[in-house]
Order: sequence, then structure tokens, then C-alpha cells
Amino acid sequence: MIMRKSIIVDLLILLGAVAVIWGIFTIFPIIPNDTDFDVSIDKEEKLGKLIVDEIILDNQGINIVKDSTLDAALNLILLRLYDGIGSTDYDYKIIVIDSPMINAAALPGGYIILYTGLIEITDSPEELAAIIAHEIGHVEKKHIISRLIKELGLSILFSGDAAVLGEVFKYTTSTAFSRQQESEADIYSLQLMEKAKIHPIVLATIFRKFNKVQTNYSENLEILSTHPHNNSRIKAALGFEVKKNFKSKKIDLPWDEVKAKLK
Amino acid sequence: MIETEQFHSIPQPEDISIREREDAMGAYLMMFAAIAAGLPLPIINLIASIIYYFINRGKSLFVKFHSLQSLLSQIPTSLINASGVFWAIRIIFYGAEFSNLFKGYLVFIGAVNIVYVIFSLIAAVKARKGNFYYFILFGKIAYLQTYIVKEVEQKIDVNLPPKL
Repeated sequence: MIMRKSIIVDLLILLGAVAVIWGIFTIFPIIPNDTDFDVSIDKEEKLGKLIVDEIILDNQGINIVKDSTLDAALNLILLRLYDGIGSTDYDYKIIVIDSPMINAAALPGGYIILYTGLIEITDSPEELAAIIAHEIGHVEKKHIISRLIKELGLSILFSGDAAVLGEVFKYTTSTAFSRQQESEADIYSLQLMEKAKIHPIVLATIFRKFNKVQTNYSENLEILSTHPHNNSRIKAALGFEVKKNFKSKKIDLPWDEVKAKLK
Repeated sequence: MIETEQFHSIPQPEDISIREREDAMGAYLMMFAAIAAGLPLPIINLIASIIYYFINRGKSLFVKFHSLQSLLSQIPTSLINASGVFWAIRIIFYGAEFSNLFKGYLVFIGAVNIVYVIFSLIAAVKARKGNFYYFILFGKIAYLQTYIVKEVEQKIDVNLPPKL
């Protein structure tokens, strides 16, 4: 077949149209995201509170660490992070569960669960702040609620049934987010840490720590199975560039004393 | 080279028989039945249109043009749809990411199929009236393929006596 100018022009027009249509609707997707479920923060918070009240507080097997020094320390960290969040509809609450598990999770409605095993391996309040910032990322990006709706459906999720609440708690503390959601939460936490004057490199430090302790007591290292692809995320955290005039400010806490309260 | 090309003359509506018009129209309308049959695997309608072309290309140049145009425009449409199906399978069963790129592609698939259906209907109506209708790109290629005069080597059979 002979290629003629007008045929080539037609071909270019078609290819151009393909690129334009595909490109435009990639940049401005008109198909809603998974996260666009219409669940009010209010409803989310009620669900979170139900889980905390019915599952965590009521459960004989789960011990909550209540200590004024620890609470004050966590509050200080949270306050620092609030400086970076800016305006948020969530009211974050941190719950510490006594367990050797090295894990952290976020429940619907801004409840962040930390396990004492995780706090034990941190060497500074900044490291814990990095983890909390990451979990806040999941909350702010609505990963948790959208995943739960996807798994269980709206009506079941908000039925208030105790079995469902237990399932939700188990699910949020033991299953992995998608790779995309993890990296979204990572990016969010890196930016949040920068704004809160905590050096973002700390996130890489704590990820590295997970790698290190993995060999020693991996059966407790739940966080690696719920937070996979550790190495690529360390790289991403190290590659994060802070603003030129960035200056980190230490979180002023006697960390060893705080950690001693865990025992 | 281009100057020396010869084209068959284009027939006017009054020269085209009802039978030819209906065969030409069928090339487009047949696709809708085939699309329905081929929905889970959009490659089936492509096969159908190839078969239709080879059955009908000998009938007349008018029919051949329309079947070829229908076939040619079917190729990218089928490939685009098939890629969408395989991409979706990867997302649903193999955990690939439901990315914005794929969302954009879904809209793009929708647009392609709407445009394809609209132009196929127009072409079918035109063919029924004994008219030509040239799609962008595919119309030109189909015309070139159909109406260009191919030089046929003239082999003259001459009977010769045996060599004695």
C-alpha cells in the first residue's frame, strides 16, 4: 500500500485524538475514586468510638496502657503534628495497647492504635511521630473507611453489630493497604513532618529499624505484613527533598523515661 | 509514480444495484450483532468482519470498499476494547492498580465505541443509498486498496505444436 500525505495526516490526527482524550480523562478522572464514598466524618467517628468502646475496652485480652506521663508525651507529639496538618475535620486520639506486637493502625474516625512493642523500638519521640504521621495520612486520605466499605459494604459496616466491629478491628490492625495507598500515606507523612519541623528522614530511620528487628523477633513484627514493600519506601523517604530553609525542632521529651512507663 | 497510478472510476448511485447496496450496508450492520456476541472477548467481532470481507470482496468494488472500510475501522476498535478487557482482568484478578490512567482509558474506550457506532450507522445508511462515505484514515486506505488499478501481467496462452 502506498503511504500518502493525507493518510499520514489522518493517522496523526487520530493518534493525537487518542492522546488528548486519554490524557485529559487521566488527569481529570470523571470516574469517582474509591475514596469518594459519602460518609460523613461524624459517622466515621461514631463507628470508631463504637469499636473502641465495644471491642478494645470490653475485651479481656486487650490491655490499654493508661499512664499520665505517656499520655502527656503522646499529646505533645500529636500537638506538634497538628501544627503541620493545618485544618482537619478529624480529632485524633491515640490509644496504646499493651502488646509485644510491633504494629500501629488507624481506626475509622481518627483513632490511632499504637502497640507498646512499637514504642519500645523507637529511640526518639520523632520516630514515633513519623509513624503517627503515617497513620494520620491513612486517615486524612480516607483509606480506612473506603477500604472497609469496599470489603463489607455500607449497610453492614454501620450496622453497629458487635461481630462486625470486632471484624473491623481485626481487619484494620492486620491487613495491608494497597501499595498506592501506602505510598500516598508516606508522602503525606513526609510533608506533614516537614511542616511540623520534624526531619522527614526519620521515617526512613524507623523503616530501617523494622528491617533490623525483623531478623530478631519477626513473629511480632506485624507492621511489616501490614506495611509491605519496606525497602522501596525507605528509598522514597530518603529521596524526599526538604525546603532549603528547613530547620528541624526537637520534640522535647525525656524519651527513655516515657518508655520506662510502658513496663 | 503517483502520477501514473490508475484508478477505477467511482460508480454513481444509479449504477449500483439494490443487492450491492444491501451487501455494503450489511458490512456495517453485521458488526452490531457481532459486537453483542463478542462482548466478553471483543476479538470475535473482528474475526466476523474479516470473514464478511473475504466473502463479499469479490461481489463488486462498491461492496468491497464498504466491507474493507468496516473491517479496517474494526481493527483498532477491537484492539482498544480487548486491551481494556485484559487490563480490567489484571486489576480484578491480579491486583493491578485501579489507576487514573485506567479510568482515563475507560472513558476513552467509551468515546471510541460511541464514535465508531455513530459513523458505522451513517456509513450503513449511505451505503444503502448507494453512496460512498469515507471514514477518516480508514476510508482513504479502503479506497486506495479497492479502486487502484493493479497491473496484471498478461500471460498469453499460445498453443504450440510439439518440437519435432
